[in-house]
Amino acid sequence: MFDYPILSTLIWLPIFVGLILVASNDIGKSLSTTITLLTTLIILIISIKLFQSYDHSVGNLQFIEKFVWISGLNIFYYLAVDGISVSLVLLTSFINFLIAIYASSEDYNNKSSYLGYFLILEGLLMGTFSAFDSILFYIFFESLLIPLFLIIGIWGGENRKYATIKFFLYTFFGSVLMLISIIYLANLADSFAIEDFYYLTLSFEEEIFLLLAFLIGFGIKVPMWPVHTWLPDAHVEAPTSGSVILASVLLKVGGYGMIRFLLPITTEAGIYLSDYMIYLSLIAIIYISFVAFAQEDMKKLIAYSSVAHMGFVTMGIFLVFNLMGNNPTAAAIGLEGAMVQMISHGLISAALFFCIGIMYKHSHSRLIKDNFGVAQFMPIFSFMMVFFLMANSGLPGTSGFVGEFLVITSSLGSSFLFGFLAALSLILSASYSLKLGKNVLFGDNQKNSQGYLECKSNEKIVLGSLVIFVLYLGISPDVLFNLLDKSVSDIISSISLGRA
Amino acid sequence: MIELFYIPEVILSIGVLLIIILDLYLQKHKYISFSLIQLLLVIASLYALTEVPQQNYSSYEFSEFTSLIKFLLILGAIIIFQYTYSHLNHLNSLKIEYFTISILGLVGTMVMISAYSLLMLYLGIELLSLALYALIGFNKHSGLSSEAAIKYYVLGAMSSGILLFGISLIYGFTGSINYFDIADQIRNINSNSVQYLGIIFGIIFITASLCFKFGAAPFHIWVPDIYQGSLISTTILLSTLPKIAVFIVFLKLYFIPFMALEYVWSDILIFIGIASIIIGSIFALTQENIKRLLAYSAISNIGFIILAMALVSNDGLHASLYYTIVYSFTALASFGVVTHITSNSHGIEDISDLAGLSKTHPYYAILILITMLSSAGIPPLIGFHAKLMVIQALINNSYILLSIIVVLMTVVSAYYYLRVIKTVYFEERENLISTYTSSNILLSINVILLLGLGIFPFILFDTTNFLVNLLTVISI
Repeated sequence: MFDYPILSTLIWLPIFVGLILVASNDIGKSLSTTITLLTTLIILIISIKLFQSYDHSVGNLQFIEKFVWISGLNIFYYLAVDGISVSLVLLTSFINFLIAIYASSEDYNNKSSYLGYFLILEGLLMGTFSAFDSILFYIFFESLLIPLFLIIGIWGGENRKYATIKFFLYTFFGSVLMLISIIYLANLADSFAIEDFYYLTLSFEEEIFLLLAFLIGFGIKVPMWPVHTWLPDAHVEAPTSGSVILASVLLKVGGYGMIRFLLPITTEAGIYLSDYMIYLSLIAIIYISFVAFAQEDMKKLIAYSSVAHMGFVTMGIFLVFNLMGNNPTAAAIGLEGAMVQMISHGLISAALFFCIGIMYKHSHSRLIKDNFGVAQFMPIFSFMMVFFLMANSGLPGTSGFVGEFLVITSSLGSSFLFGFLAALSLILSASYSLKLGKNVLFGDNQKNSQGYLECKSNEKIVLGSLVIFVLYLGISPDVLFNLLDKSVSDIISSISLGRA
Repeated sequence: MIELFYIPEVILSIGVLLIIILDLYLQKHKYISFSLIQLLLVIASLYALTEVPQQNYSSYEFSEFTSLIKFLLILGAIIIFQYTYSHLNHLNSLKIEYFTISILGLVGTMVMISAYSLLMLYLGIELLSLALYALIGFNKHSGLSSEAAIKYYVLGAMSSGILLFGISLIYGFTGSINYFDIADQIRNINSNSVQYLGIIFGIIFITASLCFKFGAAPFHIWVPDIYQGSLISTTILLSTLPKIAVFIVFLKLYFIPFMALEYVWSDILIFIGIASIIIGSIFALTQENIKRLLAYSAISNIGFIILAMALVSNDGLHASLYYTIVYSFTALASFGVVTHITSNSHGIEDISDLAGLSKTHPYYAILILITMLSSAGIPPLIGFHAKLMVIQALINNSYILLSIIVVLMTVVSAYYYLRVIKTVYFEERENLISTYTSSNILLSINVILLLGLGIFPFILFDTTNFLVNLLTVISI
């Protein structure tokens, strides 16, 4: 054990440094880069320590920090982690470290504020993944919007004003409904602690309303099919690092929230509505894949591909409802698949957005037709990008395969049709990924006048380390399974708690 | 009799009269008169704090609750005057009369708070209104200002008439103007009698008039015009001190004399609250003028306060008191920031005047960012906790549908707060903005507290909890 509050450090250190960077208002570029690199490195080291000292054979909540925060309202400053949180905390700190490395060679106006907002975002994400008091969770969840809003709005592209307002209002709308559900539950449970909600006995109608509220709240964040339209806009306008953090970590907040709130609390309603929610996920997987294929903008293509891949996450989660009664093992597989898919998508989508960002720097266009023949000028880069595109389409041996495989296996336990339709995604995602690769990397390079240059060493480090981790999780996913196993079965058992 | 001189109202009134005379000899050294005024306020606030609560009072209340609220009001006035002084100085229209009149208005609010009989209440409201008529018309070079003053005067006089009519109905049917006696009479009333009907009419007239003073929908039409027409420093005053005072009047009137008829006024106030939230949120969407925007934002905030109070429960009371303090604090900050920025000799008028502020004045841009996010109710700022408490009180009292309407309106209102941030941060323009101080310690503290109290909300929470406990003591 450590003699310092490890979770609070993870949350408040980056926020504190970030606020200083923002307030200092454009101190030198190199100084702010160094400070950011150091802070993210420290955070990465601390979260690796957290991972090592987390006892995954026990499960449950560990590293608990619990103090009264607002006594009159019964709100606690309550932090803890289980396996699910630890994996997401690791992802967050890793991606933020990569962003810091990537940004070190970039030039932004008022770079210290830019990096400061990223640090604040990192701290808030840590808080979201480790808060176990629902109001504290909501505060972190909601505060996330502020730095991202500013990052996209200040350093974004042409149409950023529209995109930021849309993104903000969409997610704010979802989360206020969630806030009402939280207060409603807290009123019944007389406590804001999330685990106290699990023991409530709710009427069926109550559960239906709560489920819908949570589904809208987290579904917008994931995003699920009919409410996904903010994502492509936000991605297209965001600066590269903004897209990276948005795709790789922020979307996971939605999936994480579903696992924490939706699964254990609104079980009966979930079982009743699970088929419809699985249909929604399947629409995301299949229809959005077609949409992705039709895109001409690289960032939009990857954004839609994210929606499709997050479809697997939601499907894995909702399959739990479907399977829990007759096949709890398959349910656990589905949930674990959803988690692995989240981590894997976090790595792969981050990598692809980095790749697009690097190409954009040379060609100043995100359109597929303006980028061609890159492989000739940037062989190493192209090799890695092809690798990520393959991983994106679920190539066995990469982490992209593991999650999808688990979810498909689990869905076969529910119905053949679900499995079949989900498996279609392997073909569809391969088709749009390969289309992107073919046109951009290997297209006709006769007319090329862009002057691509092989990527810089820091960019190679970023992409290279992502290659290593995507491969590592693809070849030996055990390390993730060990971490998740106990916590996933904890979640599944707390589901049956609520049913009793 | 000597005790009379320990009352802050008396100190303020006498002090102001002396300063008016002194000021005649100090025309060239206005800062001296101004310092004397601030000194006077500080002394009065100390008196308010050390005031000895009395057990027996007939028409004027001296309790711990009233003295704490008075202390808060004087503190607010000190901050407002500080903002106003530099603003007027910058506009070259500094007149000490502005402050002396404001102080008379402040005395009016204090009388309203302490009033324990309907007539005293009327006196307080009139004193406040008279001061406000003068302050609104203070900018005599502006047509809008004169228009606003006349508008407010005519409507205000009419609403005072309605108030008096309500008071006379209550007096006629209960035979008393003292809160306690009225409460006694109403408690024992037969609900089939003429008396009952008359009292209900009285309550409705009084409610209408007070809602006009509060600026709640559907009595809100004057608010945007008057906010726009008056100097921004008058707008700060209008949107804080009278609101707190009227809120306390609401509390005392409804929870002491009219408590037994709670089932009558509670529904009316819920309707007024919801209507204010909806109108304030939706009408603000198309506003281009920043003062009109803040006016509509004030209307929707007032709606939150009334709605929470109308629940007639302990958590509702607490939420409304908490919300009032947070709202006043946020209004001080947001108007305070705007007073410090000028795009021409008249100050900021339109939202688009703020374009590009983040490039030229990042310090003020951050202040605007924090105040706007707090007003929108985004955590971790203090505005979130205030809204949270209101919504929680609604849900605890099983008004689920209302809570959903309220949060949806929060999303709508988030749009126009975001629009201000968008203009400040994301838009660029040939910039005409100037600020007359590079930074202002008081303003910074004011704004940073919005964040600080948001992260440590229990500080304010415990304070208001203390106040609410005092209040339940007096209402029993």
